[in-house]
Amino acid sequence: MFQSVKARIIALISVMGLTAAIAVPLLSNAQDAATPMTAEEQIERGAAIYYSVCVACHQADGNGVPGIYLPLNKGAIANLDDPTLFIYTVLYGRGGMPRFNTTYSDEEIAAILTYIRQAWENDAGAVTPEEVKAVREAYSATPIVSPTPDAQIPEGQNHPEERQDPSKASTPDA
Amino acid sequence: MDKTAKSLTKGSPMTRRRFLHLTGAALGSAGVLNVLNAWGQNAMDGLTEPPKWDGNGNGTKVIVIGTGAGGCPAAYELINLGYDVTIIEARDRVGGHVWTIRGGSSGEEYGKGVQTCDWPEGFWWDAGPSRVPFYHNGFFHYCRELNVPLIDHKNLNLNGWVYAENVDGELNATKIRLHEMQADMGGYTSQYLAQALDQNALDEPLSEEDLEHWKSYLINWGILNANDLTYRKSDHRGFAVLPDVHSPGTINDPYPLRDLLPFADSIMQAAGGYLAATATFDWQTTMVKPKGGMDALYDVAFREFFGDRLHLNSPVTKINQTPDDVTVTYTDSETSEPVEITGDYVMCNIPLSALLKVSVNFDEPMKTAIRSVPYAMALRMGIGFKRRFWEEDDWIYGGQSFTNISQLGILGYPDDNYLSEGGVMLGMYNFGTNAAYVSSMPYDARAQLALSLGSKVHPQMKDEFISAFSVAWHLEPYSLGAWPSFTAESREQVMPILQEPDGRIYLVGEHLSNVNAWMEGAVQAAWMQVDKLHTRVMQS
Repeated sequence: MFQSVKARIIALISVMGLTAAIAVPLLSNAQDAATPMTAEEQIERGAAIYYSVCVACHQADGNGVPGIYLPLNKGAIANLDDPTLFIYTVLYGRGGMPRFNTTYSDEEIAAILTYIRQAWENDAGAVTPEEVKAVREAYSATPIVSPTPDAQIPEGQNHPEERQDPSKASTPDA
Repeated sequence: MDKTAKSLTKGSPMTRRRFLHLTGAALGSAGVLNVLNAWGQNAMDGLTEPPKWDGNGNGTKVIVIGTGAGGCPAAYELINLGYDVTIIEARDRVGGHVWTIRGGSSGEEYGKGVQTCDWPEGFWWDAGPSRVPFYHNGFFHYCRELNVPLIDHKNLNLNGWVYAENVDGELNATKIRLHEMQADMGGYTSQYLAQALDQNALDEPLSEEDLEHWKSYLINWGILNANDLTYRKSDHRGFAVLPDVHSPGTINDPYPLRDLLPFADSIMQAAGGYLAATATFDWQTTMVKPKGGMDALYDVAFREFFGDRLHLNSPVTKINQTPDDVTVTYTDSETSEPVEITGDYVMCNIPLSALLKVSVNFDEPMKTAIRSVPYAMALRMGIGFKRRFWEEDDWIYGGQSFTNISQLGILGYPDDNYLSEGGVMLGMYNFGTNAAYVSSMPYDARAQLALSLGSKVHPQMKDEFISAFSVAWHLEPYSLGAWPSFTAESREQVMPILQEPDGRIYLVGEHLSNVNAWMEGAVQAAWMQVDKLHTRVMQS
């Protein structure tokens, strides 16, 4: 199963690479959201969105740009067992990353995240629209509160500013 | 509230500060924000110049990091107040997002390599801010102060084109003049409303007199036949054949309503943000801009004023504060060696998105606040053409054309040097996922896409093309985003944190303001932060 998904992804990438300049990007389409996607449709849809939107910063190989755009290939946030922080980040933005909560449906967010969690060298579990819905609703009123303690993220794979450990001086008089 | 806000602009910083503290105690942070709204954003009763400060900084050392729209006015005021100011800028120019592109300009987006502009002498185009609303008095203050001449920015030109595709009706994939669409839609709307009024079909109880006034207004607004209340064509929609010495000219019949409705509806849906924006408070006429490019204020006037206080090509990697001072580490571009400078305070104009890439020992609440703010994606492209076909062929002098092609967005025309040889058009302006999609292409492919889409409006484009320069702000080093995208809730949560100093570090920029994505927001934030810093120094 995993191999065939991989093969499909590679086929998709080459097709999209060839047609990138003329392809109409697959943007959100609320009407499509009503019918649940099969696992294969989810991967296809997720890959299509990844290679027309996410790719701008996170790159075709999912490695991002070191110190600038987080890696998704083997990236800590992308591969956490509990996808809550990943869902949250894509929905509400974080660390300068744009928010996509008004752009994509729960189904589309689930598709993008599922694709990423199974692409390249990743091998994490699929994300369901229900999980996305739950995170969307839980944080809609307080979108700036990060849902998962950053301590969950393995050492050295955090956001760049968190990798360093500047010795914290006591604040003088603020 | 208005009266209070006004008195705040005249009073001493102490008074305003105390007032805000008192308000904060009584109302909480939301109360302070509301006061700041009134102080900073109420355009008809807002700040028009920096507060009148007393006292002198007496050589207190302030390091200003970043020379964007907020860093420059902050540094300027601090220098004038007697502070010992050092200005550190990552780029090779002053201005940040204020970036005027000319022949020789170059940039390197992440993952895209270097692009260098090869437009001929005299061509210029603003990749960032390109127009100033009439009420942005803080910006005008510095134009006056530093003798920067201003010109009109047309923004709205009724002779511009509107183009919509994938719509029902005969107007699908055609371009018509904005004055045609505006006259016809205004006319039909007036006609049907006037006829409804005439039949007393409205729910609202209106007197005979009300109805007569309203009908009369609509007759004149929509150019209706006063007898049967039908829309009749007029020169409001322009001429098919111009009046000349031989004839009074010919005006085409209005487009049939069934063809116009889907077209106009699609334009308003797709480009409503733009089209309606020409009438909103921010984008209404008259808009202005500095003559020759927005950088006339920043990379010319402020840069000259700063003199040798300014260090260009010096990206900051670390800011470390102690109870006694703050040390900034930057990379010297010539030696690639780290350089440390120490001062009493830092005024930091780095966008929040890029500030995350710098190691700073902020307190936790500030770290969380900074990290929580998403930034928007936007891509703008200037295209240099050999010939001003939009002026010579289409008689469009400044302003914009609108399309429902979301990857293309709008086309914008230069506001100066009419009928000169060639010029630069804003050839693409898109946002969000469209900006992400186009920005993922190499520079050349972006330009080919813009030409291919833009040719639907201006078929002359491909023949007259010289070269394009595109800026995807989310891929731009030291920017990493076009502007912060706050929601009302997130603004309420983070703004009180961002606006207060973290130890010896003060943030400055439009991200501290309700006037986001405008230079004015950054200017007013600079005044607010200089006010806080100066008040603190005077008290210590």
